[in-house]
Amino acid sequence: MSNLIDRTLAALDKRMEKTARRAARLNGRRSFLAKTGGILVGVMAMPLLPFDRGTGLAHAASAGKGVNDPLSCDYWRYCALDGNLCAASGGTQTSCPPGSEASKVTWVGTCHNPNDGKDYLVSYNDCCGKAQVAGSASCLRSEGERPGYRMGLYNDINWCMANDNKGYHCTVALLVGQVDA
Amino acid sequence: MYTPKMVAGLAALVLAVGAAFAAEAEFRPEVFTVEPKIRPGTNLFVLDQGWSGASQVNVLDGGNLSRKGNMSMGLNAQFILSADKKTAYTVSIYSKRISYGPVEAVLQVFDVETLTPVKEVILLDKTAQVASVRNHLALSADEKLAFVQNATPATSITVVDLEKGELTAEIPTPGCWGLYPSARGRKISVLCGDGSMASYVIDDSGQAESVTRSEKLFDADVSPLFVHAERAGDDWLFSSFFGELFRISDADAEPKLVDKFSYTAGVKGKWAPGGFAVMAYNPANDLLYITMHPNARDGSHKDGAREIWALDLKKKTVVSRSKAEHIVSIAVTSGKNPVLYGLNDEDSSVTRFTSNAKSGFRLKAAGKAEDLGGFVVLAATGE
Repeated sequence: MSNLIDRTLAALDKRMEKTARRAARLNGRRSFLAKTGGILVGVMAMPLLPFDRGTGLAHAASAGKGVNDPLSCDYWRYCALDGNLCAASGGTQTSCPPGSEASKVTWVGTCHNPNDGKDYLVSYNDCCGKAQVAGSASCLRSEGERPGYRMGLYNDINWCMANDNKGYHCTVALLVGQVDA
Repeated sequence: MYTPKMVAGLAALVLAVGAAFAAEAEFRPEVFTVEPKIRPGTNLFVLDQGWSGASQVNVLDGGNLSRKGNMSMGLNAQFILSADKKTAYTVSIYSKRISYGPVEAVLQVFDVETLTPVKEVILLDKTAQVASVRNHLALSADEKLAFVQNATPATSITVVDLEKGELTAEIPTPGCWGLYPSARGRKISVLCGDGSMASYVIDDSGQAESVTRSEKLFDADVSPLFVHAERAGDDWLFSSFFGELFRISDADAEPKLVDKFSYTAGVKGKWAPGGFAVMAYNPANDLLYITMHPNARDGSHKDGAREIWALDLKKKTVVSRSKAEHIVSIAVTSGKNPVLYGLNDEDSSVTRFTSNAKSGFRLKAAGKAEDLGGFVVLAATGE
């Protein structure tokens, strides 16, 4: 049981870390503190031991509560997303918020969908030309991510770079292909 | 009729009023001035990279971490110091309407002592807007040229003649990234996705006169290298995501793999390097500090450090492991008793650590400064 609790706490800790780090990075410390407070309240209100009733095993962070939630950094298709969620900025996981413009170029990730057991090619487009939305969820996941010498997999660069309006606003995650097993 | 008591009282009153007038006459309004230069002592430079507004390089006292001032620039700044630490070079983006409209990419040269920009060079609009890593901006060994990373996302390098303040060339570098200047001469190398390194020799006119491509040095799929690298003599030190050290020499025309070894083999806990400036080299002890996290997995290569390891490069062994909290970038002084600075991008702080040979270069926390910005990601020491 203590192992189960440790794993659950580790999962929460991991979730906290990636959310908090990205928040600090994009929004500054003041916002970071406000967001951390919100997360702590959220954690207290969450059931602490989410069980899969089918197997009786606790979910890991990658297959946790938010795995199907486009507002959560744990959403399965966000596996290589570094940025603010457009879904939490007035758009959706596939659309930019009003008044922003879609990036012309993207990076990609390969994410595993636990619902059907298949892998999908995900295109991460940035939305451009506006300031970041205050309080938008900020995520940092880098599965399969590579530095700029593999540019198409690189998530540390502003993908509004090819647009006329280059200000980074938020990021979407479109399914563009299914990876053959 | 005045009594003696009245006369004495009147005299006291006159004296008091006189004293008051005298005091008023001596009052001098304070003069509003600008400090001509930063306070003396060692410097620590900490870049706070702005993605929504101005970036800045905060200058702190390297000992007590008090603020000495800052240098401010535009969006997505990159930063590097001259060898004598007296001049700072930055590249950043100024958008006409901050978040939209035309951009102007600018290389700025700052005098460190006065924290003042002394020169500007307008760059190409395609200058990369990217998280700061030291190897996104470089100087030639003679510090007469600057090399700037571009991405459209097709990659290239802008060559800048710093004396003339002119762009001399744009070198296409398809599939390659990062800027690694040679220790001597005018040569710039880049790391390529096929596992090779390409080296460009720059002629007197600032043009690329030749290019030499190395053999495959690493595998970007199996064992990708961090872009951040440290110069150690004739070699560049790279680390793979999973804890292998690559020593690559760029002294000859063709870059060559001089040595490669694992510094995590046999260590329990799946430890791996993570962060941005993941290594810091101390030449006096031929020592490399590395930011490390446990339970490494695919995608954890930017996780903050839980420990900082000290790797003795002669013995090729880890001589000490020190506790750390979410440190994503480090910088270290060059002397016999290394002072290491660790940046925490979660609470935007820098922690100062001291160390010495007697303790196996174990790090001892000796000061912390907080509230250094929104994305505190790159540091440089002034000694």
